[in-house]
Amino acid sequence: MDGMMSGEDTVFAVDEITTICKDVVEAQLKAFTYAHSKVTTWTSNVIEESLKKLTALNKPFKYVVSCIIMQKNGAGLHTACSCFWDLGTDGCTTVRWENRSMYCVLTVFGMAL
Amino acid sequence: MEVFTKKRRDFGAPVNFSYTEPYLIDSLAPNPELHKLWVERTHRDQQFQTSREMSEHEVNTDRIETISRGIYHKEGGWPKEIDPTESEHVTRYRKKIERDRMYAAALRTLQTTCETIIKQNNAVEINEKYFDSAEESEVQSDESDVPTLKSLTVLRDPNGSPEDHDGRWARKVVWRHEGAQKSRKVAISYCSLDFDKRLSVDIGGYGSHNCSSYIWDITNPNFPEQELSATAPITCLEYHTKDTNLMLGGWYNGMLSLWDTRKGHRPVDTTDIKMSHSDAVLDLKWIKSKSGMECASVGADGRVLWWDVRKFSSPIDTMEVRLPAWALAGRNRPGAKRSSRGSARPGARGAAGTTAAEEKPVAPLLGTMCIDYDSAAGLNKFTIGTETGHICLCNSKGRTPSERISAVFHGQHGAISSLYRSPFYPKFFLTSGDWSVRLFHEEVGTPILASKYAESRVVDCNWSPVRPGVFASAQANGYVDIWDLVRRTTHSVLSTKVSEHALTCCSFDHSGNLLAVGDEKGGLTICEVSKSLSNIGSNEKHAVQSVLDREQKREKNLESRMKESRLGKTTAKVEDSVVADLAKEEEEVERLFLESIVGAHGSL
Repeated sequence: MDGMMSGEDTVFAVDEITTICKDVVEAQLKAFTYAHSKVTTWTSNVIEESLKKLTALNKPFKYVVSCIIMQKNGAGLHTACSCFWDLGTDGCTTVRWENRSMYCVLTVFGMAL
Repeated sequence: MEVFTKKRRDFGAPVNFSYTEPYLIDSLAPNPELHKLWVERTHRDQQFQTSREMSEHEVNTDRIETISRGIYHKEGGWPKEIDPTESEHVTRYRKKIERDRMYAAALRTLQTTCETIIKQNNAVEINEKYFDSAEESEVQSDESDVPTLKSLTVLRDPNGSPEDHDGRWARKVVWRHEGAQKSRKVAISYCSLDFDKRLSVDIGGYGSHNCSSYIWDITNPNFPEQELSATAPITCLEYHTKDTNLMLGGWYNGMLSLWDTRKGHRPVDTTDIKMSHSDAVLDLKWIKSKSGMECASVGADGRVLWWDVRKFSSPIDTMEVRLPAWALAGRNRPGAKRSSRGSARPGARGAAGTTAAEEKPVAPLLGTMCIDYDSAAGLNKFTIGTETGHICLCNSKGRTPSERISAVFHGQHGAISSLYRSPFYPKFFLTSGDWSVRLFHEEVGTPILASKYAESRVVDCNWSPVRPGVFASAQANGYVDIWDLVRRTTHSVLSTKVSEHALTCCSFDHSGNLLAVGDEKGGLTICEVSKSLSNIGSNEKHAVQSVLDREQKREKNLESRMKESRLGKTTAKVEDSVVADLAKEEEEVERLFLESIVGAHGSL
């Protein structure tokens, strides 16, 4: 079955997408310290920017991007997921980024068409 | 839009989905240290106000323009055959009616109506004095000695709004003289002399511009009373000295024209453009002559032209304004500068005649800004102010050009904006220019009185026609200063802001009660000066004369002492030594000043 959708294009390139996402988060949040009123804007900015970059790759994929921004106040966080999909082509990746005041966890799911 | 391609054979392939192991996205362990830093905020600031919120909104009422019209009342109700103007007919008809039986009954019914109306009329006392206190205070302020200026009305150029950038200046204002009573009519010439606007007018012609000027009745500020139309902007106007129906005007293109206000708005006659000034006419004056129809005009082209208004085809006489050789030489040698004027003038004039005849005139033409003529000072005498700040005393009867200019003063640092002889002392004249107002005497080369430099350009000055020591000066920052030489000679007695825009002209009316002040946006403000500035005091004429004489003597003495000290003939008289010391002191101060300048430059 794996051979049917062969080729580089149809595989979720984890490394490439991770770097892209890291850059986006870094660019969007680096200058800020946590402020509750701004978080809504930040999350949408991060999501929109990363989606834009992902679609610019021009690959036959559907993407799901989710973003968590959490204030650094010593609380713990545990989050996990499970999927039912084509193991050969689909995939997901996570970027965790932090600065002095907050965490940002960006998760990208990519599903081949 | 992204384009995605897939081959036909790949469609419908069975999918092979499977579960993935639970994938840990992220796991952050709780951090107690950070948690300790977490402080709950107990207070927070919030701002609010309890008062009701209001919004500010400004509305100005529209300007209402009113027109007053008369109504013709005619006595009516008479039968056709009765002429109400003939009293005999009327009385006969009246008797006939009164004998009628119905007359008494009709009168009774009418009486009740009439009575109600009369009672109504009597109930409202129209002429009642409502505000006694207000009027009293007004009377008091009139009696007080403090000079004031009260603006009465503003006449706006009908062809431009004040916000309009192309607004025309109210360049010159002249009052119509109506004997001893207050003048009510004023003529304004509207013309911009701004360089930028000049340029655009020169290129575009006058076609798009309205060139008319207007005569106003100051009691009706809504509409001008009469239009004076022209084909070029009118730079200056002058009422005939006797017949106030005649109006002389100078145009921006150098032509002159004569209007007769009885004959409509078109000029009766205009000068031939080939014989006229080659640049804008800047000032003109009527001249006392046998016919009373002669005038002189000066223009930016540096010529003085004499005209007979009945024969406008060519000027009677022409004069070019050039500095004579002696004046040029005098300017180069400051020592001789004074000697060539003042007391030694007649000799200099004789010498000038010979030198000028031998040498060709090298002096350039000087654009002339203003001319003053006063028959009391001399029938043939003119005073001319030039763009270079020189004041030339001229005699129209001289034969050679150099004979015509009998004296030259260095008046101001810039163009002389206006020049007027005192109506009471014809030998004294007032000039305005640069940032100051100066008072000269015909025979003294330096100003006998000079105001301090103002903050802004002085654009015009004018003598009060009734008070010998009072004159007004208008500045480019919108202020009008009024001076009273009886009170003090160092400062103005009154300084008032009249307009938001730069002023262009000011003029007292012939009763001395009103002052008209024009600005660069075409507005003309009519102000009333307080009684203390318009009522002549007893012995005032004499007092002002003594002030002027004193200043003149002082200046003259200083001048002659300076001359003597330069020639090295200082005599050791007690009274002279003081003046000589002064001169030396002056030189010393000047030397120190120059040194300090040089020092400052050196340190830089």
